[in-house]
Amino acid sequence: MDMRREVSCYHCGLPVAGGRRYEVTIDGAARAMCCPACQAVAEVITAGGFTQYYKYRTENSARPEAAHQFAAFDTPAFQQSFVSVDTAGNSSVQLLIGGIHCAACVWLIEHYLRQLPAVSAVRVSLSEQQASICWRAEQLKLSEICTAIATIGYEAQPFTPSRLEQLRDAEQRLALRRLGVAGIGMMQVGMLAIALYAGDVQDIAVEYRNLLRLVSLLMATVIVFYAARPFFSGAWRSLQTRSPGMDVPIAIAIGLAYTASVYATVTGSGEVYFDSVCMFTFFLLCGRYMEMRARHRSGRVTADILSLLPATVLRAAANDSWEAIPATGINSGDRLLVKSGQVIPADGSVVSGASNVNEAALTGEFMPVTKQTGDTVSAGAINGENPLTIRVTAIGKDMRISRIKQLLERAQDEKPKVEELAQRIAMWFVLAVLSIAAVVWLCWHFVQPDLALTITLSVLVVSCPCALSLATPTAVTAATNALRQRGLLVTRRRVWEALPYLQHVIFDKTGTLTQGRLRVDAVEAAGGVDEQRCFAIAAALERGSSHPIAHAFAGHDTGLAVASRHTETGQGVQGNVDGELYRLGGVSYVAGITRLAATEQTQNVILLANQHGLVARFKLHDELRPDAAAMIKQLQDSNFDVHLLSGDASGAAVDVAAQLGIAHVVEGAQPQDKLAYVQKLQGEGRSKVMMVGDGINDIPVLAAADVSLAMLNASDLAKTSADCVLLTPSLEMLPYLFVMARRTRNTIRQNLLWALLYNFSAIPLAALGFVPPWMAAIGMSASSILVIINSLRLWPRREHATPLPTPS
Amino acid sequence: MESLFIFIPIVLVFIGIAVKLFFWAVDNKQFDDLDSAAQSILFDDDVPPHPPSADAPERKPDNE
Repeated sequence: MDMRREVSCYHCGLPVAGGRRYEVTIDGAARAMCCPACQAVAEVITAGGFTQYYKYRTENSARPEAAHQFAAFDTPAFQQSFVSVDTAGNSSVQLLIGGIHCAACVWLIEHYLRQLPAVSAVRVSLSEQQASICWRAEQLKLSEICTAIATIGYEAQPFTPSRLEQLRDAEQRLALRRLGVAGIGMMQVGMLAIALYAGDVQDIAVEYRNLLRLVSLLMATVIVFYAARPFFSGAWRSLQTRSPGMDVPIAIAIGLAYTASVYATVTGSGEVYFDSVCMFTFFLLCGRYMEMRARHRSGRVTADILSLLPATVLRAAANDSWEAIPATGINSGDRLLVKSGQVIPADGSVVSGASNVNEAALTGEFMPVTKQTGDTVSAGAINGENPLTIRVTAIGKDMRISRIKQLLERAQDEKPKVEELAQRIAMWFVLAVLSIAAVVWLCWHFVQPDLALTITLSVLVVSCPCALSLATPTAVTAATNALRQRGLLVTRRRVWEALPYLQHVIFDKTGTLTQGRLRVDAVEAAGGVDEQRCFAIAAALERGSSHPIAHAFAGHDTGLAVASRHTETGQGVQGNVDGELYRLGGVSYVAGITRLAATEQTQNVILLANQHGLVARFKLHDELRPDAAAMIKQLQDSNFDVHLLSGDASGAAVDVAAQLGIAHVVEGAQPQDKLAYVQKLQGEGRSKVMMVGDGINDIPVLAAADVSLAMLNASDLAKTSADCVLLTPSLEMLPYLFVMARRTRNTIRQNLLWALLYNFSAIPLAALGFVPPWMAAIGMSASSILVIINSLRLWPRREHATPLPTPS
Repeated sequence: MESLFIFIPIVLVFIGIAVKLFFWAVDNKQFDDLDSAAQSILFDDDVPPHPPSADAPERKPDNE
């Protein structure tokens, strides 16, 4: 009946250790908090009257990090590179905000900052995790704004959008403008087209018909020359490189239908197709825009490796004090202070201090590494519980983390190209249609010269590759949407071409197949104390520690008092519980207070002992994801080769592989080893390889694999370099991705088949002069609509929230 | 039917205005974040937020 075990922090959702010592009254009820940081944040939020935040948030808040120093933000050098001041004296800054995950966060930050007296405008973007803030600098310092954001539990860091990001924003805005113009124009032209069609039946007067055509021409001209421009420039570029892609038939279709309609309008004869032109352009732009948006959403472009590093650092000054300077000012040989919880800003060696350093960003392993005087530390690693002083040995390009980035760039260059099926067909199609048109014109030129132009035109209109160019994008858009609703974001179109030919699926271990956190697997009580008490003692000793081992015990804390607790970095912890001295840690540490059997095993085990002998052995394990086994089984049943590549060399990878039945395992693999492994598989019989991973150390491999998938908790950089991103923590989606890929490929094939069948059966009829232009127009629309409807079969069906009871 | 000769140019002017408005909205980042705006209407802004006080968070029991 121990109720306290179930208590989790109202703010961050982590288990509350021991008895409730921290609480805040929110909306009239006392809420337990896990730590003073959460308590402080929750107090600020309630005191400001923002309790609605708790009502509407969809996820728990991030546990607030240790306070950062923001003083360096006010130095002139820093201000110059991040803050812009307009003529009226208003300063504005862009902040990257860590910890935003739902609309409630956006609301909270916006409203909290708006009530600061000097702030005139705040806009927070959920998808970009950015805030732009406008304020009077003489009344409020930038550091104070960042501190205010920190008091409600978010991390703020000024940034200037990178060149790439600015280009991306401009690209997206232009695409949206084009889409909007095409949409508005399509509606107008469509309305006029109805009048024209009705007029054809009811004998419209020629002057009105010409007026309506003229207006349609006007608007279609804007659409063709403004909205459809990317297709023309794309076609031109691909012709220059002699690899005509899908843009060529699209450009020809738009160009021909438009030219024929202009000709008809000017001469007052024939038929106009302005409505088809506009609709066609709009639908294609829609597909492209959605694809681009998905690509951009997957991660920020600023998610550069180097943005992981802190913006400001503490450097040793002349008079034995520490000065805050921007990170760009670090020189080789500087002495820097890295406080507990901070990211190490440059490669270096430890001058003083000893601490556990988390190198997950570099190696993917979440177990910290102990660093003492003389040890080398790498930029990007996170310092654990004690402050470290380091002497900088490498900065900029020479840092270890920068070398991973270079590896990534090389992998991206060498990534195998996927040629789209539609692209191959498009090239032959264009050539065929153009030569047929030429032959038709020549023949009619000799038979009946006055009909040659009209008939050639109708051949070209009838063969208009609308359906052909819609075949792939519509299917891909529908399938992408279906997957997104199930929690998987596909960001690159190449995925659909590569997936059906996939042979190998490679997984990373930590954080991908496992949850990336330790759990106590088994306990053996050795000294006659019951297991419950062993747990309670261990949990009490580890209380307040941020080490992953401590988290494994956090749920077992019953609030035993500990006296004179002492932590030996990298070895263990000791303390007095009920007057008895206990040590918890590795064999050599525990052996310091009592005699142990020489056969004591050391891997993945920690020991609890007192002076009378061993009390308990805890076997620790990185827990497997609950759905991993089923997923691997499913993949193997579908004849995929499953591999496991791990950076961990402790033997845990082999254990995991054995549990899941994975035959191919490599452990202790460095990023370059992983890359070589993937490239070797790709070399064998040209088989396609998929990589599933999450860490920065996986990024080069993610970039090199034919298809790559990043996990929900992956770093931003991994997400941007991956082709697909999981939006849910479960792996179940993976087999569904393959099912969807197969269905999509089939749909694309059906679409292409139909489009080609239609075009090639209509062309001979048109060539013989049997197809009047209006029939060509109907055929063109009908074939396009058929393709769209076929693709829509992939569109997600609305599922019932609760499954209906199945009759047994 | 002669009215068409007047109405259609008027329509063109309106379309021009609509496109101009749309461009303004795009440049004003109205379409950049479609997710949070959809939910922000749920927040009840009628309750005026209390000004933050530097001293202890002594607050009136305004709930219920």
